[in-house]
This record gives sequence, C-alpha cells and structure tokens, in this order.
Amino acid sequence: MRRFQMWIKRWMVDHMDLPEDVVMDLPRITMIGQVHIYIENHKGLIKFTNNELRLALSEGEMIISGERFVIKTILPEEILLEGYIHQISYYGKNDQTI
Amino acid sequence: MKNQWVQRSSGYMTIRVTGVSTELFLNQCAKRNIVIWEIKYEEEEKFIANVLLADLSKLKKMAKHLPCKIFFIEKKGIPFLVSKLNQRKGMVAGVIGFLLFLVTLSNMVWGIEIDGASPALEHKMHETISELGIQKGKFQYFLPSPEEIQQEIMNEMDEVTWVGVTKQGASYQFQVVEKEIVEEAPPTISGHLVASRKAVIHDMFVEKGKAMVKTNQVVEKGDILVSGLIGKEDDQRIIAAKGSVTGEFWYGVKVKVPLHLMAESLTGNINRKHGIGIGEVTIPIWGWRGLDAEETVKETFSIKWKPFGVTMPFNYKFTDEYELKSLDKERIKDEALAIASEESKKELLGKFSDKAEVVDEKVLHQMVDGGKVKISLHFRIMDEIAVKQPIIQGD
Repeated sequence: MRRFQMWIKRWMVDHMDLPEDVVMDLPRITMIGQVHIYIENHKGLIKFTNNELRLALSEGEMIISGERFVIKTILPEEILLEGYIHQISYYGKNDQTI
Repeated sequence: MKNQWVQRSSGYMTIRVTGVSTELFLNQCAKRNIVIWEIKYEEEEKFIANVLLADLSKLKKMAKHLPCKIFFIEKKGIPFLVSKLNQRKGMVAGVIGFLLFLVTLSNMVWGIEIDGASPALEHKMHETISELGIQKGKFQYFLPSPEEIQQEIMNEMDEVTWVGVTKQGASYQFQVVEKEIVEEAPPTISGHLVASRKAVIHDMFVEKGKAMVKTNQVVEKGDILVSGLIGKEDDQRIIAAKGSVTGEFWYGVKVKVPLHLMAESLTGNINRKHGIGIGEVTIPIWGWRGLDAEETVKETFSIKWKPFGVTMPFNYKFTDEYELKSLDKERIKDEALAIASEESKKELLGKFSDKAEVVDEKVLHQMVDGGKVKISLHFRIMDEIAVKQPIIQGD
C-alpha cells in the first residue's frame, strides 16, 4: 500500500507539475553561500553541536557539518542555521526510492 | 525569515542551560511552542539560547520535567528597561523635566526689538505691542501671527508708514519706517527787506525785489534794503523781496578775567571701599586703607537687598575715593587777554546769526586791578542784516 502511495505521488510530481516538497513531504533547503542554511519541513533535532547538526526528516536524516554553528531560529518545522557550512549529506532507510 | 523585533522588544532573556542535551531541550521547546533562538553550543550539555519573557512560565514548567538547570545571563527589551528606569525615577523625572522646561522656555517671547523708530515712537510702539499681548514671557502659541501683528500695528499707529514684523526664534523684530511729517514752508509774505541794525553794507545779493542800497553805504536800523514794490510807478506790483545783505558793524565789549584761578583735577587714583551698612553704621569689609592723598572726593553708593519684596535691615555700601590735585596757575596777562578775547568772541557770536563772523578785533584798553584784568575790546563783525518786513496794504 505504502509503495503504491509513493508511486502515485511520484507520478503526480512527474506528470502534474506539482512541487515535490509539498506532495512528497520532503525538506526544502535554502542556502545562502556557506553562511546560512534554512531548512523547512524537518521532523526534529537529533543532534546539535558546534560543528554538526543532525535533523530528522520524514525519510531518514540529514547531517550538516561545518564550524561555529548557531541556530538562529527554530520552529516546529523550520530551522535557520548560521555558521560556516562544509557539507550536507543525507542518509536513511530508503534513499534509493527518491 | 520573519523579523521578530516587535515580539522581542516585549522582553527576552539570554539563558544558559546545563545538564540536558541540546536536542532534547530544543525538541521539547518546539513541542511546547516556546520561541527560542540564537542557540550557541558551548560544550556537551551546555548551551546558550534566547527565550521570550512571555514564555517564562512555559519554560519553568518544562524545566521541571527535564534534568536541567537554567541560568539567566541577560535581560533585554522594554519591560526590563522600564523596571530599570523605575529604580532611577529621579533621573527620569529630571530628564523629562528638563525637556519640558526647554520646550516651554523656547516657546516664550524673549525679546522685542524695534529698529528705526525714534525714542518717542519706540515707546509708543512698545505700548501698542504689549496691548496686542506681545510681552516678554508670553507664550508664542497664543500670540497672533507676524502678519496679523503687522496689520494691527499699521491700523493702530498713524505715525508709522510701514512696519515689518519678523519672528526670529524667541524674539520679535519690528522694522519701523517712520512717517516723515513734512513741515510746510511758511507762505512767502510779500514785503521789503529792511536793515535790522545800523551797519555798513558789505555785500548784497538780491534774488527778488529792487535793491535800494549800494555796498559801502551806511544804513540805519529800519532802512529798506530791498524793496518789494517793483515795476513802474503807475503799475506797481507787490512781491516778497528775497535776498541776503551782509553788513559790517562794530561792537565794544568790556571783560574782566581773574588772574588767579584755582582749579582742581582728578589724578586718576581711585580707591574703592566696600562695607556693609546697618542703619547708620558701616562695617568696612575691604579696602579700608584708603588713599595717601591730601585731598579726596568721595562718592558713596549703597545697594539695598530686597529679596521677595522685603527690605533687609542691612545693605551693601561702597565708597569710591578719587585723589584730587589742585592746579594753582598764575595766569599772566597775555593769557588772560587771550582768554578774554576768546570768550567774548564766543559770547558775541552767540548773539548774532549763524553766519556771523568776526573780521577784526582790537584791544582798546587793558588794566590790572585787584587781581583781575579789565579789558575793553573792539570787534568788527560781519553778519546778515536783512529782515523781512511785510507791506501793509490799504493805508
């Protein structure tokens, strides 16, 4: 069933020109240079230190690494991070489906 | 990102949280709708964040369920500022008071300047202006505008041709152009010019009329110099004779000048004594040594204090002493003579018109008698002798 739902969503994105983040509940990430990163639609904080931020997503998680991290704002579904970002990486259960 | 300065100005605090991991704390905050921002990681289970004052109770409730400790580092925003100012009420009152004072005083009339008016008119202007309500210390709010004032003054004062009113800051300036009241020249009365005294005609200039005398002719007082009757005998017209006739005449004066004159002058040495006077008694305070002079002139001034209209029983006095020097001059005869002639000349010329001048002077006789020089002098004076005399008709 779940697989079928995914397939429908995928099809809608491909054929109906709907944005993926809305349809498929994916995070929308906006970055300004290396300085700011703005993530919408996250599912909670997993880890926060000076040089690493881990966020839970609907599927898997996301790791942002860098230096001198400061969370400028945190709301239930949004986060604005300031610092010096080196790397953004995803890892999770079913990254092959995306 | 929304700018949340309005929310933040309602008061926020910087807190340091220890004993709990950042993730747990932040997720809890998100769950409980606590606005939190500027999160800085310090070390394991220790971080700094900002929270709203409005969320304080929620934060406290949340902290009960977590094994954390919250330290308040800084308090910012209007509520904290107000409570801080509350502790300094005096200063706040002072600042507000000062501003009020400044605004009040700068809206008062501080000066009234009147330019271009004669003292009498200026006084009248001052009265008119103060009737309009423009007085020192009045509020400018309640005063009419400069244009209205101008109109009002122009209506009220006849002596003024124009008045310009300008307001410069706290002072009013009035530029007055006074009405020049032209004196009408007296209408020329037809008549002759006659001699005012016995004299020898020295020079004459006739503008209108018929000259009746020639130069070097001796005229008696009342003789017609320039006639106002012109034309042939059977067709005479009466006009106002006009012209100037200079006559020469003699004048004898006897003057007495004292040879021994005493004069005093101030040397410029001044000493001021200060003191406090109680009734008739004066207690000196400063400068009681005085001057080492034989002769002095004293001037005493006293200033009474009248605080709140009550005359104090004591007053402040100061006495100025001026040193005097006597000038004892033995005036020699020549000097006396010079003085005599100079003084008598001045006195003489005062008796005649402005055009009069002394042509020649002679010392007829001089004599020293009882410390005085008696001199008789003889002057030759030239002066205008023509005087108008109306022709009386119908005799």
